[in-house]
Parts: sequence; structure tokens; C-alpha cells
Amino acid sequence: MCNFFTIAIHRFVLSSIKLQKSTKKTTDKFHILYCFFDLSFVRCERKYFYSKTMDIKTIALIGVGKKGTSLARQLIERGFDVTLYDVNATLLRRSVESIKNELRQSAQQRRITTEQMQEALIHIKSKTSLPDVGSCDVIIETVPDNLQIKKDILKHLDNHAKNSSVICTTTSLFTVSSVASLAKNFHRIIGLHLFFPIESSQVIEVIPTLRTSKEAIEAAISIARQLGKEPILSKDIPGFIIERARQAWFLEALRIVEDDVADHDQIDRLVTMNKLHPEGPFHQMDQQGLDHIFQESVQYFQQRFYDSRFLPSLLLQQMTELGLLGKQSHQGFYSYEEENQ
Amino acid sequence: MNKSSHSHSATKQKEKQSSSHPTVYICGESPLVEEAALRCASSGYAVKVHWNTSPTETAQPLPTSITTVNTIPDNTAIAFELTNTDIDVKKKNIQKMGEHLPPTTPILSSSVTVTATEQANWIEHKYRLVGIGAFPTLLSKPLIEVAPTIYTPKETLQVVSNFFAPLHSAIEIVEDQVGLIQPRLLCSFINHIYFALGESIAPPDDIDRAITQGLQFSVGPIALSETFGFKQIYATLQALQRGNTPHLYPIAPLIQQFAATGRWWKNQQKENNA
Repeated sequence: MCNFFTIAIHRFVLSSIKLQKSTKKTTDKFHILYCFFDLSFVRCERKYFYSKTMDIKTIALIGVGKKGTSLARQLIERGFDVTLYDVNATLLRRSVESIKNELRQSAQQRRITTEQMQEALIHIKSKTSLPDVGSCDVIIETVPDNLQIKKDILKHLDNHAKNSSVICTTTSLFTVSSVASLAKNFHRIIGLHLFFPIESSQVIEVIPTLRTSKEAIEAAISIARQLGKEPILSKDIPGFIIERARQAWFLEALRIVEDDVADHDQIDRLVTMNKLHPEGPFHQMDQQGLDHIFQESVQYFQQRFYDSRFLPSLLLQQMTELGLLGKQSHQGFYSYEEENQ
Repeated sequence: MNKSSHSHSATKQKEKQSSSHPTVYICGESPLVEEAALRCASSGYAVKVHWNTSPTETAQPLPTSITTVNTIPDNTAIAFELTNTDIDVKKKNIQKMGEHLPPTTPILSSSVTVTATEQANWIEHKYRLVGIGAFPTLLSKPLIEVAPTIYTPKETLQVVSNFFAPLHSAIEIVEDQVGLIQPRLLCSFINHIYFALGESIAPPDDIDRAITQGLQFSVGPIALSETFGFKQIYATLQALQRGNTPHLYPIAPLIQQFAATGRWWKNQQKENNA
């Protein structure tokens, strides 16, 4: 009991000193706001944006679907030694071929020189056995967003990677902490939220957990910068910054339709004509896949302990159940039959 | 001809011109009144304005063609009531318009925080009131939301449409529900972001950068909230909360604080720098 009071008093004194210092320094309410909401960790991490970049030479990519292949190509073009890993040997071969073809095309179109192409081709390796990727400086997993698969892979990578390796997960559906929960060395696990197609995206969200080390943050920021993207640090909260904002935008648009205030095309018309966004929310949802958007909203709702603000849309559920999935099924909020013909 | 006589004749000509153009009476709060007044004046309407409380600062000085009045002009062709934050003041304004204006003069009233049908019930000639989506920056856009009440005849809507045509704005007819479309969509979005800001997800500038660069919004939600003003956002969210589904619209504590104090960190930073 005595100990408890001592600690409590100690913490109170420390926090008041911190507050006094900050108010004396700048008399800036913004600073007080930071202290109050504990944004100080973000401020502190922002220093790494300008610190020395970690020397990363070898990167392993786990999972060579569309996202993995696209990321691999970008990394190879920027001079990293990239090892591709996938249990499916056919998929792996196809991915390597696709990267090589794209590099050759780039050389033919003179976007890169022949020397650059030949040098890049040397940088590609492929493996089907997970322990083989253990010697890489950074390991990035890009497997589909299935929590159990991601957890198992991260546990496995953590067991086999060399001590100094940094392990990045590209999850967008789950928190980095939940994906890393089976690993032992939490300090080297970090989230790297990429946006596809990578070529045209401008930002990468970097998501440290409560236990991620400075070195891992530095490595993730360094990769983002070397890919020519703006790294943005986000707290490890479901959806991070961008997916959370996207969901909020979509959910409200869906609620307006569900409340019969307007049709989806009216909303899209208002949003685009009044230049609130280049695309209307319903057009965007159709492009991204209604099943995907619905699955995401259900996940965030569960992860937020059923907070009513994140209540998924009934309309979206029904459309998904009836196979109205957007552009991929030629029918969502809009019809794409003619486009298909 | 000397300078003074020239300016005198110019003023006379202006007066003549303004008398030949229909008079628009705009009453309400800043910055909505200024926005609507500038828009109408640029299309040649003779504009008379009245603020609920005199605005502390306007984004740009109003041209001389816009005059401030304390009484409703008799020759008003169309009247605007643009108050979102104070329903009692709004009710008084609408009732005053209902008493002073001829029964055929349409009243375009902001229905962002209270439905147009509810407002129509405050006056005798209910058919002449039509709701519009009046929210900061939205009155200058090419598509204006219009919410007819259950009493609105087609003729009144036609008058409204004809009024907006020379302003190069089309109208979008929407259901008469609080928040309409754009204010509801934008305020709810901003509210979500302020919840995230309260959870220390990232600093405000980073949030705006992530959303503009990652989601292709032209302006980030934090910057938007400063443009709209926290009182307008808070009033809209409160109106949504009063609706059928209050559990879907809890208001972010930061928005409540900033609406009450009228301050935000960028203003504070500017003051400190000065």
C-alpha cells in the first residue's frame, strides 16, 4: 500500500515537472495538448526521419502475390538484394518471370539502362524454404490478410531470422501487435502499411508497436524513403490512419443511403462536382470490392470492442451476400456490364 | 466633368441598376451570410444583409453593392436565413420574415441543423419555405443541396432553381433530414478523425498529410475543420445526435472543447509566433 502511494506521488511530481517545463518553454497550449494526450512518443519518433539511415542491403519478401511481386520489383529497381519466398513453387517462378519481364520492358522503353537491368536481374533470388531467408537484413511479409497465417509466419520468421533482422508485416486488417503476438522478439517487429499500386502511391504508414525498437523504426522509415514514399508514423490502432479514415468516409456515405436521404449517385455527384474528392465514395467502393470493404468494417468493429461508431453497414452486408461485389462482379452500386462488353 | 460629379453619376447609375435587379435579403451568421452575399452580388442581385451578431472578422471585406440593414426590405424577391448554431435565434428570424415578407416571397433557410419542415411550421405560409445545405464553403460550390418540405409546391422549387441559375449553380433535391448530405458526410468524417487525434494516433499535420496523399482528398480533415469552424461542426453533430440513432454519433471530446473555447493549436501557434 505504502509502495503504491510512493509510486503515485512520484509519478504525479514527474508529470507536473514535465508540464511546467513545457509551459515555461513555449507557453504553447499545443505542447500541453501533446503531454495531455501523450502524443510525445510520436514527436520523439519523428526525430528518426532525419537520423542516419540504417544500412539495408538484403530484403526477403514472404508471399509473392500481386502485392509481393509489385513490392519486389520496386525494391530490386532501387538496388536491394531481394529474396522472394513462397511455398507455391509455381507462383514463385511466375512472380520472378514477371519481374524479369517488367525489367526488360523498362530497359526497352529506356526507363532504365541495359546495365541497370542486368544488375537488377542479379539481385533477384527465390526460395521455397522459410529458414533460408533468415540471413536477410529486413524481412517483409506480404501474405494475404489472414490473422492465423500471419501470426504463424511471424513466429516462424522470428525463430529463424538472424538477431539483427527487422521483421515487417504489411497487414492492413489487423493491428501489428495482434499479428506479432506469437513472436518472442517484439522489438524487431514493425508494421509497414503499403498502398497498391505502389508505383503511384505517395505514402507508407509505419506502425511501431509498444515494444518496437528504435532500430526497427529507423529501418522501416529508411525503406519507405528509399522507395520514394513519405513515411508517416501511426499508432498501432485498428485501421491505422488511412484505412480508418477511409472506413469512416464510406460508412457515413452508406448510412446516408440507408436513411433514404439520397441515392448513391446523388452523393457521388455532389462529392465529385463540388470537388470534395475526385471520386465519389460509392464509385470508390465498387472499385475496391464491396466484400473487401465489408470484411474490413466487420474486423474494425470487432477490434474496437463493438464501438457503435464503427457499426458495419447492413446494406453492404446484403449486397455482399447477394454477390453484388462491385466492379469485380460487374455489378455493385453501379453496373459494369457495358464496360465488360 | 470633374471627379466628384463622375463618381456621383456612377453611384446614381449603380442605384438604378440595383433597383432594376431583384433584392435578396440575407440574414444569419458569419461566415454563411458573407458567402451567400458575395455569391448573389457577383450575379447582379441587390443584396441586403443582416447578421445575428456582428461578425468579429470576415474573410474579405464586402463590396459596396452589399448593404447592411436592420429591417427587412419591402421589395425583397427572395430571402435567406442562414443560421446553424442557434435554433432560437433562427426561429425568431424565420418568424420575423414570415410576418414581414409578402406571402409569395420564398424563404431559403439552412436546414443543416433543423429540418425545413420543422421550420415551415414556425410560419403561417408554410409552402414558401425551402431548406438548403448552407455550410461554410458549400454555398460557393456548383451544386447546392435543396430540401423541399412536405408543404413545398413544385412552383416554389422552380423559383429556387431559377434563382440559382445565374449564380452558375445547379440544385440537387435531397430528403429533408438534418445534416443533408455534404455537411453530414464531412462533419461525421471530421468527427472520426478527431476521435483518432484524441487517441494520439499521430500529430495533426501527419494525419492531414496521410489523408491527402493516401486517400487523394484535396484538403485534410484537420485543415477542413479549421475552415468550417468548430461551432458549425459541433452544431451539425449535435443535430445528428438528436436524430434516431444517437449511438452512431457520439461527438469527439476535442471538437466539444474547441467549439466551446473557439481555439485551436494553429491559431495558438500563430499568436505565439507573432
